[in-house]
Amino acid sequence: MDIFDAAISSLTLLLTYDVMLMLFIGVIYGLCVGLMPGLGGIVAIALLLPFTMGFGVIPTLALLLGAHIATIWGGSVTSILFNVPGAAKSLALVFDGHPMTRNGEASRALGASAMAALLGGIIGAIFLALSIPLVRPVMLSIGPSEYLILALWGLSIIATFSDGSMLKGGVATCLGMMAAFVGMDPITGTPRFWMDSIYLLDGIYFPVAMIGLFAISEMIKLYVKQTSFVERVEGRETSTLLSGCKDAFKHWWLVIRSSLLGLWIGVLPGIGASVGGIAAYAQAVQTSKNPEKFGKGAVEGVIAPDATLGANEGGGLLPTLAFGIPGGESMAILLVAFLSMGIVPGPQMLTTDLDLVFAMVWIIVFANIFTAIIGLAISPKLSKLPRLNPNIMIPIVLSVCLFGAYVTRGYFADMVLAFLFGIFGYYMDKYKFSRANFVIGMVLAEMIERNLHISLGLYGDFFIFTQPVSIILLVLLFITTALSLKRKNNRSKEVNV
Amino acid sequence: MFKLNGENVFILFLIFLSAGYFIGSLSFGPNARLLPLPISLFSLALCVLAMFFKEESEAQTETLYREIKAILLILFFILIIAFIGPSIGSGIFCIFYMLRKQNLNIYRSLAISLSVALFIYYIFYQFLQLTPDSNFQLLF
Repeated sequence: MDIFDAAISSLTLLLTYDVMLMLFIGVIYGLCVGLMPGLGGIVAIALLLPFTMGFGVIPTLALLLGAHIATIWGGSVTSILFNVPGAAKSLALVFDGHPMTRNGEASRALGASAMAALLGGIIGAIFLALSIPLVRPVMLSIGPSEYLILALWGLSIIATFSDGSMLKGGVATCLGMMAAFVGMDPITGTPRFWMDSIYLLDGIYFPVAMIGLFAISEMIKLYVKQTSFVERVEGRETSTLLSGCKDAFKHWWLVIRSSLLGLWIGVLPGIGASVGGIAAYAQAVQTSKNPEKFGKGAVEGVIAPDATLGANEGGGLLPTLAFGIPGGESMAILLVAFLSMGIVPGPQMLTTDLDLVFAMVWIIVFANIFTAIIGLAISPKLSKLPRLNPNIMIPIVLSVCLFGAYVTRGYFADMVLAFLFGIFGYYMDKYKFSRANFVIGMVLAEMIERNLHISLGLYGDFFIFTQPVSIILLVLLFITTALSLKRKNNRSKEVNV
Repeated sequence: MFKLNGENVFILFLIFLSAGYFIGSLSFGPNARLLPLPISLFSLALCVLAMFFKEESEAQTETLYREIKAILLILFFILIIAFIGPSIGSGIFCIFYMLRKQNLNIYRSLAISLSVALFIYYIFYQFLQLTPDSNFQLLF
């Protein structure tokens, strides 16, 4: 089937009353779930699955993908307003989204976030459709040593993140990596640092650590300072949703770059959208004319991760459908849903079943549009929440956060761990050890360790120098690290002058 | 000059943590310690450097009393949840906290606390169909 014919015929399949209704229900449900910390897209889809029996393939896909895409934006909202990443993917939004809220620009941040996610979703879907023939060779050229270098590149951007002392940034990264090594060794299964606790054998569950580090520590901070989240601005909110939407269009080149990055990170299985958001943020910092604004409420720091997250889902669908290799955890659940609907992933999806693939591409586009419209409609109310009195805010947010930690796996011990990470996060923040660096170290450590072991096993001790793609990536890694260090050095010299 | 202030105590804690981690890593096989060993050593070195080459932060020391109170408050909340479950526990915590701070009158405080409890009840018991667990002993 011709690509153009497939695109048109799948659009006609979609423009029916029942599909649009399912998509609308899915988006509303996804936004509700996304606003709950700890309950991400995986929980949203897993809970919907039993209710999809008996529906047709397209309405079911509309319901599931709609819910999945809306949860991502829901996670962005909590990151921006409360410094609580709804899921690992929304982590990068806390770096500048929450400072914008503190500066009295919550509406602008929400507007920019919704519009960037929408544009990212649409650009990602278009490029996804165009890049279907190119995907296979690229996917096959990326092996464990290349994944390792990509993860190391992720670590190198810490030079960009560390706003204060590089030493403290380095300590935070190492501690994050050390936290990730708790549990069984991925290759030999040796239990490490488990302190004879069965709970720790599984390792430290990432969402729980994140709820503690960012949300609970913020509540401790609020209690100690006795001020609301928006402490610097007195009076009314100064920004508008429209200014945020305009920002997304104003930074159109950043949106396109971030969307393409999100798409390709989605295509590569195993990297995950959390790394995508961080990578998008890093490239926004590295390419900005005013990198010193980042971390203090730069709107580009909201636009880049949201555009990437919007585009990432389309990219994640490709390996899931074409090879049956899920691009991430939520794609794994979607894969189960596909199989239960009788959709068998394989290379034929990109040839004979192309109309189904395009139907999914269209669903992603419409889901992004619905999410943006509903999101922008509810944003004026949402943006007032951080101005609430801390004495009302603390018990409610604390209840939701601890509960969020509890329900991620249903373990009471997760709540205790979130509390411990909360204390640790509070003191890290107080003494200027970057919590973001800790989390990046934690996210990338598992990927680095697994791919290092596989590369050593497959290619020997000098594996990097035997793989041409690895050498190219390594050179790029050194160049970008050197550039960002040079920029940081120049900035500190300017500050001293 | 080394001063025993809050920041240095925190860095000392990190030094002990990294040192403990390093010693712990020595007991693993070559594969299991391939990364934890060098990373903990690197962390230890950076912590020691951070101790002596840090810029003075603006951290306030007079907040210690409030910090301990905040930590004890969350601990109290977790204990309530452990004994009476998440929905009733959250409701009781919210009403206790709001009445103590007296920002809202008793009816508003009750209404908010009840809403939180019902919301958590619905999600926990009806939507996710979980039961209060259970796995507390796993941690110890």
